[in-house]
This record gives sequence, structure tokens and C-alpha cells, in this order.
Amino acid sequence: MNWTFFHKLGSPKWFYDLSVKLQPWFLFLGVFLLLIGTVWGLAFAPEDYQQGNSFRIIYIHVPTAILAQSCYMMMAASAFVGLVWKMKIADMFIVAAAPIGAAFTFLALFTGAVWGKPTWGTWWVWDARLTSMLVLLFLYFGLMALRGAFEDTDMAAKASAILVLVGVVNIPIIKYSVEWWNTLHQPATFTLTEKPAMPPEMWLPLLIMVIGIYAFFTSVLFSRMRNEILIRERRTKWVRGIVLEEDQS
Amino acid sequence: MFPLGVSPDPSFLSTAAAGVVWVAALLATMLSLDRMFKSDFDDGSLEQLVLCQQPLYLLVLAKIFVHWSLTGIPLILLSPVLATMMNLNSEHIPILMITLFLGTPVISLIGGIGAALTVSLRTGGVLVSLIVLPLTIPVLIFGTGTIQASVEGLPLGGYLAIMGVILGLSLMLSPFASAAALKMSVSS
Amino acid sequence: MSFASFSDFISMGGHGLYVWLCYGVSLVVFLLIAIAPVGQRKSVIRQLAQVQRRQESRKSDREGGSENGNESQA
Repeated sequence: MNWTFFHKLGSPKWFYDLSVKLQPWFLFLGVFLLLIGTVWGLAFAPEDYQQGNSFRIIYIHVPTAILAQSCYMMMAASAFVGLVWKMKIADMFIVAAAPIGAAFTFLALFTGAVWGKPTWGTWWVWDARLTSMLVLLFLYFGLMALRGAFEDTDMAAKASAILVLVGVVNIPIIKYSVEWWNTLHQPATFTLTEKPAMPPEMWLPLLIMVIGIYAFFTSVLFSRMRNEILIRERRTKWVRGIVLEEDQS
Repeated sequence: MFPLGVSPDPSFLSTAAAGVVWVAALLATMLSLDRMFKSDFDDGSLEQLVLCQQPLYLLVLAKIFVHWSLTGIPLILLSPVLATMMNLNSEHIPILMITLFLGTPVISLIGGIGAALTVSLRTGGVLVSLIVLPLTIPVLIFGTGTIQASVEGLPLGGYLAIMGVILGLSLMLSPFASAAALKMSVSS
Repeated sequence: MSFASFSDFISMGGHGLYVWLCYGVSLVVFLLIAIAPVGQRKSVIRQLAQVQRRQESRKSDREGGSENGNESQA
């Protein structure tokens, strides 16, 4: 375990400089992969036997769903680190990541619902995944609302961390309960939204989309975190220098 | 209100009965969550409680117990009346009461976390509900599920066991979160 | 290509509305979340610069004033 990395992470300035260097790469990689994945998935992947062409929605639905959940997990890890080691960066991560996670959760829900219409005949279905996603969206909203209600940054940081951790403990329970509830109520004819055995021509673009969306997420995260750092470290010399410089231009 | 607002058809009412009673339980608890810690916070006694030697976990548990006895217990006692109004067969009333007995403390426990997090804020109200509601979904699902199983004549052992596990976990974990949140709230 | 013609591509076997609705909304959301921080940064810099300028001018007032033995401007 490289502890120097961990210690460096505690310095907002170090992170700021690093993100300035890395962000263009992530952005480029993200956009590039997302474009390739989209074109491949929309135009070149074969049609699905049962669902026809509406299955192509998978290439945007699954990556956003994966990221919606992954983002929350990362926030939970950050919350833990922030509470135990009291690192400012950990809290900044939560602040920066939450809106992105919420946006992806919304997209997962939206694309999932729209996919439902040609597949199941209705716009909204209380299927296990959509219902769990809806609850996740409320968890994100609750977190953002709680954050916004505090004026003191330290209190806000602690409150957010506690709520994220309480939420993360609940997520498996919620998923289990919703899936259990759903298997009781769903008619047996409903099929899963993911085909377990997909030929490579179908899952390769999906993989590309997932990697692309992670890269894109990182790029946007860096932008947001930099803004957070500027605000919180506004009294330091190096931030004042940046502000002076950029204000002239 | 459901029969008046939706439909007095007896078969509809009985299928909806479990859910309606449970939603009522949730709402009743939500509405009173604000007051769990607020009055103590306002007059400064919360700070004293946080600072004193007693473990905060136990104090939180005590507060939550009081809240539950004022919201959960009346509901459990009233539930037979509600069940009859919703045309739930009287043989299922004991199960309804048992599920409420196992589940309403969980709502109070989880609600305690929300109340503790927001006690120093002026907004409260809607925010607490927004935070707490998603977390209570499993209790709602299993609570109503147990009653449904009873109506359908299925074995109840597993359902009750799950309710018990949820109650046990909440009892062990949520006061910690509430205590941490209270410490944070008085730290200004 | 999985499609015989461009119009086939657009119609997606009748599911065109759903597929393009999804990708269209997604594109909009992606653009929004990517661009928002850029605007946010500009306004953050502007506000911080304002505060900084005010602080600088107060400092120079104080320094200038103390030479004449004036009370410091708060």
C-alpha cells in the first residue's frame, strides 16, 4: 500500500494540479469510446430475435445503470474515508459526484421505462430493477437536499457522510426486498432486460460504452471537484494566484 | 378515507387493506419525527445529553422508544378497527398486529436517523421524509408481504423471520448513526 | 451494417421513436453535465475575484490610512 499517495491525496492542491493534467485524457477517451460504442450499437450490432431493434437501448441503459450504482458505492467509500481520516477531498468527492450519479440514475430510469414500452407494453413497470433505481434516485435527491440545507461546510460534510453510509447499508436490503416483491407480482412471461448469453457482436459495444462512461464520469468529476477546491481553498495563496490570473483574461 | 376516495368495493378494499394500514403507519411516524429531538435542541438540553457520561446510543434508544410508544403502539392498537373498515378478514388481524409490532419500531429507528441529521436545520419537515422514506421501503414491502401471505394461506415463518432480522439490525445499527448525527448537529 | 438503408436505420423496425428518444435525451443530459461545471467555474472565479479585489482595496486603504494615523477602515 503506497501511503505517500494517500497522504498526497489529502492535499487539495496536489489533486487540483493532477486533475488539470489528467482531465483532457479522460474526456477524450470518454467521448471517443462513447461515440464508437453508440455507433456500433446503433448501426452495426445485430438485431435481437425477440425485441427487434428496441434492444439497442441497452447500450445506454446498462452503462448508466452501472454507473448510477457504482457512483454511490464510490461515494460510500469516500464517506467512510472522510469520517475516519477526516480528509477534505473525500467530502469534495461526495459533493461533486452526487449530481452526476443522480443524472445517470435518472437516465437509467428513463431509458429503462422507454425500453419497457415496446417490450412490455407500458411506459412504467414495477420491475425489480426500475423500482430499485427509483429508490436509488430518492437516496441521491435526499443526499443533495440534505447537503444544500447546511450552511456550515464541516457539518454538511459529516451529515452527508452519515447519510451516504446509512444508504449504502440499505441498498442491498432494498434490492433484495424489491426483487423478492417483484418475483411475487410479476407474471412469468416477463423477460429479463439483459440477455445472459450474448454473442460478442452484441456485448462488445456494451463493454466499450461502460468503459467510456466511466472515463466520461471521471472527466466531469474532475471539473466539479476543481470548482469545489477553488471555493474551499479560496484563502490560500495558490488559489488566489489562479483567481488573479484567470480574472485578467 | 380510502373507501371514500377510491372505491368502497369490498374485494378491492381487502386487497388494499394491508398496504393502506402500512402506509398510514409510515405517514403517522413521519409527521411526528420532527419533534423527536427538536425541542431538546432548541432549549439546549440536547447538547447536555450529548456531552454527559451516559452512552449516547442508549439515550437515542430511549428517545426512539418514547416516539414509538406514541406513534407505533396506538397504531397497533387501532389496527383492528382500521382492518375492519378496510374489509380485511378478522382472522388476519393478529398477523397484521404482529407485523406492525415488528415493523413500526424500525420506522421509528430509521426516522430517528433522519431526525438527528436535520435537528439543527430550520427546514426539517419535507427533508426528513425525503431522507427516511427510501430507507423504509424494505419494511413496507415485507410488512405487507407477510399479511398478503397470511391472506393467501401461505406459511408465515420465513416472513416473520425476515421482519425479525430487519428489526434486529435496525436496533443494533441505527442508534449509532443517530448518535453520530446528533454529535454533529450540536457541534456548532 | 445491420440495416438495409438509412431510412431503415431511422425507423429501427418501428421502434424508432423509443430508441431515438432514449439516445436523444441521454445526449442532452450528457452535454448538460459536461458543460455545467465550465459555467460554474467562470462564476466561481468571478465571485472570488470580486472578493479578492475588495480585500486588496481594504488592505491598501488601511496601509495608506495608518501613515496618517487614521483609524483603520473595517
